Amino acid sequence: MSDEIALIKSLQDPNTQDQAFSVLVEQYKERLYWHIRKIVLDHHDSDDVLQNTFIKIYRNIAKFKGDSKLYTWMYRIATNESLTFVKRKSKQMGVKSSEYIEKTAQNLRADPYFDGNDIALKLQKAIGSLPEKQRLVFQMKYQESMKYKDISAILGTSVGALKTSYHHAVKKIKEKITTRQTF
Amino acid sequence: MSTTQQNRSKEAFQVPNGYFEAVNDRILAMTTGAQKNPFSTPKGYFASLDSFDWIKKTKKRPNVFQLKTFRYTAVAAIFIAVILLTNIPSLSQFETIEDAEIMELVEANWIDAYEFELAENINTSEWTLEIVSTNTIYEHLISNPNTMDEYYLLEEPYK
Repeated sequence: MSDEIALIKSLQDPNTQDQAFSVLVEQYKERLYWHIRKIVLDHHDSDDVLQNTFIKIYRNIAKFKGDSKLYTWMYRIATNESLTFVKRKSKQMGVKSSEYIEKTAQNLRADPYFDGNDIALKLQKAIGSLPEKQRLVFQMKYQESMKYKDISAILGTSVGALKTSYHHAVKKIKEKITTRQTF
Repeated sequence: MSTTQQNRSKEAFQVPNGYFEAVNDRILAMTTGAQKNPFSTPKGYFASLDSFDWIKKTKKRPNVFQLKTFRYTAVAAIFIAVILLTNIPSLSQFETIEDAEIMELVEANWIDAYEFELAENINTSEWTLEIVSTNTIYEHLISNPNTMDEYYLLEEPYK
């Protein structure tokens, strides 16, 4: 925790900001990338969103008051950036965000950076068909093994509501995967 | 087994922290056999991420802002200039011409200043146009024989 406080101080000091920022990027780039990737699915889109996320972190670090953990604050920015990206893309395509995600998940087989087997592909399609909140909770809990407490801080939802969302998400995914339907 | 014994056996066994939270995930994973992370990245992707490149991009922002501000200022300046330029001549017409200039203009155009002033004082709003018939003119000329010659003189060129 004291390391985090020292890093925040360095990030907020104009003299040490750039150096501290490179330390921050080094520490969080992979974690944030995977978080973003699970939401936007495509590597190149994730790369864009990751860059925007870090740029936003750099610009707003002076406003960070330490009310939450640095990493939950950064995850919140990454989540918002990812969702904004999905909304913008779906608007460009003239479809709903959920339709865009479903469509992207269906195209994963052709993605050179998707190495999943048939079941993994089915799972991704099933995740893509979930409502936004349930999808986020499932991704963060199941795929990123995050704690409810942290997910709650990132999404601004109570732990109880998150557990309910996760329960519904798991139920729907099980149903989708076990039924012999093609997505 | 009595209730006390049941409670004791419950206390005797423990599970790892977060075990029950993870059970659902494990069951799901076993059911589906799906990989948790089927996604990959290009080789060396994370090593290629350059924080200083992002910092550079971040610091470029004020220039873009200044350029935008400059553009808006330039458009506003042109707009104001057009308004001013189109209005200035009309203002000068009413505000900057002095009496001396008017007099010069009158003299230059051979206008008798006295008549000019006089004409200014005549109120023409009460004048009405009357249609004068030829008979009236003859009657006028007969009753005023002195003007007869002038009349013929006037008629002469048209013959």
